[in-house]
Amino acid sequence: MSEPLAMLGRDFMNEGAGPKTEGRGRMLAEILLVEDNPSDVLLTQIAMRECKMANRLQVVGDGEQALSYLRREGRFVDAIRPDLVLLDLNLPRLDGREVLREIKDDPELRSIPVVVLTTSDAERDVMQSYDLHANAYITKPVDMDQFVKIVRGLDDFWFGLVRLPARGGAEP
Amino acid sequence: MRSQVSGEVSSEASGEMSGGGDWRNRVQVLERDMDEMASAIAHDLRAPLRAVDGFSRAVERQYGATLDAEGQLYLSQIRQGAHALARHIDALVQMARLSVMPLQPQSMDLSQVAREVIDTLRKAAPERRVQVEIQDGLQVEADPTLVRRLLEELLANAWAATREQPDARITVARDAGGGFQIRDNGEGFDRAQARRLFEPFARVRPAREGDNGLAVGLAYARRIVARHGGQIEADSAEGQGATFRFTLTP
Repeated sequence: MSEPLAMLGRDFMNEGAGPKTEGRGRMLAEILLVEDNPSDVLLTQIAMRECKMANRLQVVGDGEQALSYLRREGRFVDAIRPDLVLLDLNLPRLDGREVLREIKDDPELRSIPVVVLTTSDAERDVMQSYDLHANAYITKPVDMDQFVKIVRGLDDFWFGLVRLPARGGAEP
Repeated sequence: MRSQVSGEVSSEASGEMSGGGDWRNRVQVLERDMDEMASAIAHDLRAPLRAVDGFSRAVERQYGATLDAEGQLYLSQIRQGAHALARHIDALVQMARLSVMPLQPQSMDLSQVAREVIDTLRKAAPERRVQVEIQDGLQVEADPTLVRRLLEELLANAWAATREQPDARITVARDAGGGFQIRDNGEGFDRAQARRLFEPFARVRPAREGDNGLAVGLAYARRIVARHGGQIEADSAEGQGATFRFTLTP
């Protein structure tokens, strides 16, 4: 990751969201962002802050790290199970499609909603993602105003409207 | 831009519905390659462009108050440039996709589609008074999705060209040659420019208010016609309206 954006890749807290958090009376949402482009990470953080999302954002930059994080391996041994995964498709080391396949093949992980968040608007990527049981597919727009709307939509839907599985995951 | 032009030629020559074995397969492979290349280029261009727009916006919102009017103007110009470039990228991808989208011809009523397209144009501009005549029963064997797009482009073009015309008229009818024609009594164009009309991004007329800044609609139209093995041509004299003739069979 480039130096000016070195602040990325660390925890990102959007706390103090005020009435929204109190109104919902819930814990901070845990989101895992799997994204290798530092600019896109920072823009996602900016958008979440602007939407006053009550979340903790963890960021990993490739597919292997994403799986290690979810399986709490190595340096991710203390990782908190995310409520939602935002997954880019074109990733170094292990491609986003493979990450998706692994998550949805894993009885421990498959209940975590995965939203594919990618620049690609190719029909085959959309089809393939849903075939691999992605929970949603979103094309990242170039226009930042649109992107902020998307992030707001994600927040409203996943953390306002739907009921998510308990964070403990599937009990054996 | 050269590759775009030669891509156009190969797709035009393909005449998918005209058959042609090996040659056809080779063209299809080339077109698929082009689609994949366009998607890859689009992907790689969109990501940095998102950074340009996103961070300009962030500066605007977080530091806008400390910038004077000139600084704010520069920022808004950066964003407008990014948005324009994004539209160009979208248009290129669209163009490539029109070449490889599977063609599913079926018997369809072109008159009905034309009426629906005009309804949409009327709803978008209820203040416009345009007299539209659509010949009934224009049956054709063609891909309905692509033909709808074709009529959207051609009728939107006629709709825009008649904007300054108080007695605006558009007709859709069967052409003497067995194809179809869309005629308007709008501003027309210089006949010497007729061929360039169908080139992507070739601006033959000055941009009209409300244009999105691109001139790709007629390039889409030509590609759709070419997919069906047909031909499209335009005829006009400046200030005397325009006629677009097309066929959807080889």
